[in-house]
Amino acid sequence: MVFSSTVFLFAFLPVFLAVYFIMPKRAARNIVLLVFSLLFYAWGEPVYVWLMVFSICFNWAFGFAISKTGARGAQKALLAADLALNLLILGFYKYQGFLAENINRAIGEEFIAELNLALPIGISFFTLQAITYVVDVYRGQVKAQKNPLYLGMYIAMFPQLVAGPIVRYSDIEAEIDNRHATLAGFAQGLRLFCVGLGKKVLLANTAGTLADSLLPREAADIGFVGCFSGVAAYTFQIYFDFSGYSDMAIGMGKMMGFDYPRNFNYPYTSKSATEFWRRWHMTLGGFFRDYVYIPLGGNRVKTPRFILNTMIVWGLTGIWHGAAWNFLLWGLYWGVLILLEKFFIMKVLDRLPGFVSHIWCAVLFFFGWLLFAVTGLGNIAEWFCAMFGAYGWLGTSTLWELQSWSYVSLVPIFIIGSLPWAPWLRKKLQAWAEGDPHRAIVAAPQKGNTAVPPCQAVLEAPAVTPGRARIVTAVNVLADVALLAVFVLSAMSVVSSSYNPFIYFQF
Amino acid sequence: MKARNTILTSLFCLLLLTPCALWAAQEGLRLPLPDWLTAESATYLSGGISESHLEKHLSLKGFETEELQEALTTEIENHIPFKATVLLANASLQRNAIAASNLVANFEAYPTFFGSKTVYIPQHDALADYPSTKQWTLKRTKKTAEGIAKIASQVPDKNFYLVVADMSYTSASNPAHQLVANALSTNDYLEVLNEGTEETPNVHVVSLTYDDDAEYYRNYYRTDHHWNGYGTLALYRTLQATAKLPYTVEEPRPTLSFPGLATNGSYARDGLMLLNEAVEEPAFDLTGLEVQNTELPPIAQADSVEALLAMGPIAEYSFYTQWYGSSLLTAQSPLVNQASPSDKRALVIMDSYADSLHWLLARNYTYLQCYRDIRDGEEGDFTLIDRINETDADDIYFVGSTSAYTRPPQYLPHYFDLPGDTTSSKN
Repeated sequence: MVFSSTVFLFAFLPVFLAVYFIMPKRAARNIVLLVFSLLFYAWGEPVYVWLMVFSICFNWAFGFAISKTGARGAQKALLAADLALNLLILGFYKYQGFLAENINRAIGEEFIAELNLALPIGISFFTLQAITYVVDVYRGQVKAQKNPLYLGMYIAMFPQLVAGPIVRYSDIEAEIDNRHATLAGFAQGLRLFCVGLGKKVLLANTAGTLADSLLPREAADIGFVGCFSGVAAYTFQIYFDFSGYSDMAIGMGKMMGFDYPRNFNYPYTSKSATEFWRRWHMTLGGFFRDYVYIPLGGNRVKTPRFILNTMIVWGLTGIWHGAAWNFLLWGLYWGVLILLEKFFIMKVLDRLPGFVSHIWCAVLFFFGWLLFAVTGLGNIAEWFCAMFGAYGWLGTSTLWELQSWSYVSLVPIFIIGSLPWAPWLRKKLQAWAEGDPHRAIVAAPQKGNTAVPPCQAVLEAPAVTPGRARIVTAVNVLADVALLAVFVLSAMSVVSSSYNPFIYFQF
Repeated sequence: MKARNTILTSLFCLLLLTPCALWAAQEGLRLPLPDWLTAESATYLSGGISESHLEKHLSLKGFETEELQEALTTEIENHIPFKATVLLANASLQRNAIAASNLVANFEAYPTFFGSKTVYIPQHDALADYPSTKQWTLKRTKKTAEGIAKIASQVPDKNFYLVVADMSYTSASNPAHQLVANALSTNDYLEVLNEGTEETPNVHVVSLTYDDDAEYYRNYYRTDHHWNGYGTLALYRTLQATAKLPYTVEEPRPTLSFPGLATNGSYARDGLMLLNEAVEEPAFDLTGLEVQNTELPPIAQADSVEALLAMGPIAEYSFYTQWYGSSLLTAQSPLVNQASPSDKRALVIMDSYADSLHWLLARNYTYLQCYRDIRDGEEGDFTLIDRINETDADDIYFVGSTSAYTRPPQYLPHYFDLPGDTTSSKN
């Protein structure tokens, strides 16, 4: 089940919210959340729900055992066993086909059978979440959860199950037993949910229509224009899709009283590859930093080891995204860029005007997404060649056929949607109302920028005049009206996507 | 702040609950709600309603097989309020964005929404299919032609006429045809049909193709893929010259108009763009024809226009099919001609284009039987030679769009088999 479907919006979500809030006690609400999360998971893959239940059970058991075992050696052995089991399951379902295909190809015969397993939804996310729990128990950073149902609720929690953010157990440990669902929190969550739904349905899906029509094609057929617009469309699609889904997840969490970490912080405003990865899928970056990079020694090692550590982390980041060579290449691409920036490029970029850094970064995103979106190393090479004019402007197609032109009017909307204009406006409005219009504003700071719905200005100091306070309120009301309109438009789009006319009348 | 949060939350919850409320009102309370408020109007837009069979799948087994999930999804989609308005408004928003983009490019045609395979032609306020580039369809067409030639060579005393409609997705008159590289034209298919049948003099390929878009939309509907009555007459005249048919349509034909009828055919429905086309049809002279069925389409009824208008929304969303008779009805209704100029019998292998043409053809024969073998969705093990023998036909007509001629090799594996053939011609 996906959030942007009629069944989720008009059946699952209202029924869940009703049952959840009818429950008077937190314990009952936790169970409701677990049950609905398992239902959510089983909806598209009834069989794999048992895999999820198994993951919950053994991670709970290992966490509990680690907490009860005093000896460090035994704890280490238990941790190793848990990690091995988690990674084995992930590896089996996600990488079996990839490994079998490549090993068989390397030795020239079918040594390992390709099982063609369907990938259990969200396995990459819930496995990492489970690992953070057990590792943090081992490190003594969190207490082991005594109630397996509560741990199940954490691992299976439906808002972030499918596409993140990767919520660490430590992020919500306190909220499992003690959280406050308030009207204000619910409304804040609702606003974020609407923003996310709009990003996903109105922007990502629209950009995706173009990307989906061009990316599977041969570069020679579509030339420079087709390849460029295909990757450009994908650049917007993946951002709006992923960040929209994260916004919806964070929003639903807020409705229930959970504070999930922010996952995207206007990444396309970055001025370097390093900054991009501080703003893009931040919870994944945080996971690899704290659970892979630092345990490997981080940057407190000699340069060759530092380079190796960095490349290991980026190789893993790449392959985590998918079992294919292009994902590995994509991860290594970013690893190399970050190393180059650290040792050489940043020194140059720091001396150049900001717009040059933005252009540098835009080029990086662009070729990065090309590696990510185009499958097959041969195809990737052809697409690179097409970007440099190898197949002319249009390949064997016409401009009309490529359909890129029909999206031109939406490009400004995509660009505006990627920029932090809303937090800038909000902070500017706040500063003006508080009588400090010249206050220096950073719309989307790299650190400390939590997920707040756009244009929900909250005055931190009293407004200088009642009139200004009223204007802030009016802007907030208008923002709410706009968000409801976004929800209605998104719902319209969701309904339309299910339209499938009969070829002949069926009366 | 509290009031704002309360109002926002209430409105949001209300929006989430609307399909449930509608379901309760319609299925539980059985309230007589107007069509525009429910998903009823969208039923005509989509051409039917998908039954959910929710109760049938309401079990653990249903959940396991995911039939329950599918049924629930269908049930919800059947209870979306203002569904037709929602679908059309959403497509309209996208179309406006495309039209705005087209201000720079100024193409003669553009998609009716993002990803749509229907294009809008502003100059004629008309709709058309996205042009076809499927080269493999030519191979299939050639196989069909060869199959027909094989049968025709076995019955040299019978004449075969392959009538090809100039449907917009292969018509050179479609402005989008010039905008697509390697777009296939109806002439490409005619060439292949001629090639495949050149050894059999009793097979004739007949078509009327258009280069001029203005002329095209006089003979084809602006919102539907079919030819209209005038297009049918024009094709009949071409066919008459080739087949030396004795019946000549008297000119000018009286015009029938349908007051208040705003039609939106297959293109309008697929493209989610209602143009509310007003239609006029030439009155066909059906003197002497007797329909071997108690159910008559409006064209065959005495008060034909009133009969059509009485059909309600279906007449607006499927005018051609309702007026001339659906393919199913046509196939179930052999025509007997009491005033036939000859004692010959005819067999028509058809898709929906014959729904109109067969009325004119029937004036030339004592008996005319249609089979919708080349219509989309038809599959089976029957053979053409059996059809010919059953009908005892002297003349055999194939009437269809270019795509109709691609179907037999795929869906009718034994269609061109002769008694004693052991291998099928399945491709």
